[in-house]
Amino acid sequence: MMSRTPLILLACGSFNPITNMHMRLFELARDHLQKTGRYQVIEGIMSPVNDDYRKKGLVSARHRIAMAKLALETSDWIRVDPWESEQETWTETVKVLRGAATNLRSGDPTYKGFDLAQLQLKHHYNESLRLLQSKKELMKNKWPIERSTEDPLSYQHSVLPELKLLCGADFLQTFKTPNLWKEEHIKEIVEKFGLVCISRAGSDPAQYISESDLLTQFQHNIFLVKEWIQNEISATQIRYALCRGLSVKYLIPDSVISYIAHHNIYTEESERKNEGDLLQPLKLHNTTVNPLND
Amino acid sequence: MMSRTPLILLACGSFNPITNMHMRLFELARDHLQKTGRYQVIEGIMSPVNDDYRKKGLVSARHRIAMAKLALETSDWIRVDPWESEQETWTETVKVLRHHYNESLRLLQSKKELMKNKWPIERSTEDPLSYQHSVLPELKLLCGADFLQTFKTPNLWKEEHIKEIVEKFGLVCISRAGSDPAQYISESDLLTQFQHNIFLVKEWIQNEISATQIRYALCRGLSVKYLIPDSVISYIAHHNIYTEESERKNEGDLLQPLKLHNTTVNPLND
Repeated sequence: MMSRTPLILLACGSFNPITNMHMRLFELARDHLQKTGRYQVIEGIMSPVNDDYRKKGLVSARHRIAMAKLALETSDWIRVDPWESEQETWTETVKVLRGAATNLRSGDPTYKGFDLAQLQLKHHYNESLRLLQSKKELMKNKWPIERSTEDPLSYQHSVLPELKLLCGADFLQTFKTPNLWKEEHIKEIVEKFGLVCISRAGSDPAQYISESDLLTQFQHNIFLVKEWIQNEISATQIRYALCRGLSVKYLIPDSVISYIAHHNIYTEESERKNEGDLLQPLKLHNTTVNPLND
Repeated sequence: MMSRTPLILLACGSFNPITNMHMRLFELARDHLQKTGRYQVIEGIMSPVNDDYRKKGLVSARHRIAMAKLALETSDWIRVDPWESEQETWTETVKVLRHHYNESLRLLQSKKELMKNKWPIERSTEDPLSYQHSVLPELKLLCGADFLQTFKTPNLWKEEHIKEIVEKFGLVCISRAGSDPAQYISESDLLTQFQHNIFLVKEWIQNEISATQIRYALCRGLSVKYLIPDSVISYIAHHNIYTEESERKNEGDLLQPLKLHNTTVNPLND
């Protein structure tokens, strides 16, 4: 039987609001990774950013989570995770990833001094492991005598799931923005986790990788996926349209459109939120980073 | 009260299958025309082409109509019309326009009759409905910018049909990235003459969901979720519509309009 590593895709972003394109990224990534023959994509997680990120026009996480839930109702493998948005402050991406990986590789001495962030995020990955465990129990009870090594579930348990960050190609370019990322975080993300990077028209991620020594070193862990549909539904343009009473039907799910109308979420006023503020990661990286409380 | 002309949008095409982008064209067009202040868009009609068009990979109209119906379930103003697909042969676009225009007039007429029977004594000129009845609806062809360019294809269109379309009806033309419809219009004397009746709408989202690519993906078991409605995806799976075999249909055949225009055109029976 072919040896496939279970894989979880995690997408971080504003999701302000969620669009059909966000969900497409997951579908594209899954198709691509399944076709490599090396992976079995078992879960997709959407992690909307904390309000404390201070991006202009970022509406309350309460709403962004609710909209994502509505949008993902018809998906049987992608879910939205509110953990990141529920923290007291903005959480660095690598910590969101670490929490998951720590959970999956329990006992790894590298991850000492868990902060609250990691502990709480682990919950969700504990859930997927717990699910695997109960499946295993079920199987054992079903076939108590025989435990074949060909049992797909026992196979699954011997291979820990990998966790990769799902992103657009423009995300790679943000690594260049001064003070947005810590160098050691970028390294950890590409080395220990990996990226699944969906390219848009006008982006050339392969070139960008070759221009960066760090990314080149770990290019085997950066999966480039070609988006074969020109489908760049920008959330910014969606908000623009909503403010002006233009239609966004067929670009975002109907349930999300209704929700937005009902709660009157996107307005001229909401677009002005955080105007003039510095993004939180930029603020943080100009001063000493205060470790999060446990 | 502002004087808005009622307007119906008609889109002809393969819809093989219908995609979110097809439906977006209607929404964009309506927004644009409403904002001119001159029109009230009252209806959108999707008219899938007859099987006799002979396009490569064109699946049965029965399926294409069914899929469009499913996709349009959540729309309160766009509907699919099977008339064109039910004719014995392929129908020239201008005739489809004429048909639907006549239908809208007929509908208007019967409404008028109904009103007369309802209020036989009083017929106020301030009655908003009697006002509405004095303004005939317009019917315009909704299309992508690349559609304009097909006017250049030899033997695909009759010159007098193009003229009738732009003069008597009008075009609402959604531009894609890479298309420059304004330039194409200026290159054509006929289109320049009637440019007041050609509405150019900018698609502000890069959202070019090609039905051809959708079929390609379906044949290869790739996901098309969020590109076409879930109900259509289920329908396709259930009926196993798009396959390597369906893609080969009509392979090597000439498109019907090209065939027709190389010989004497037989007028369609009424």
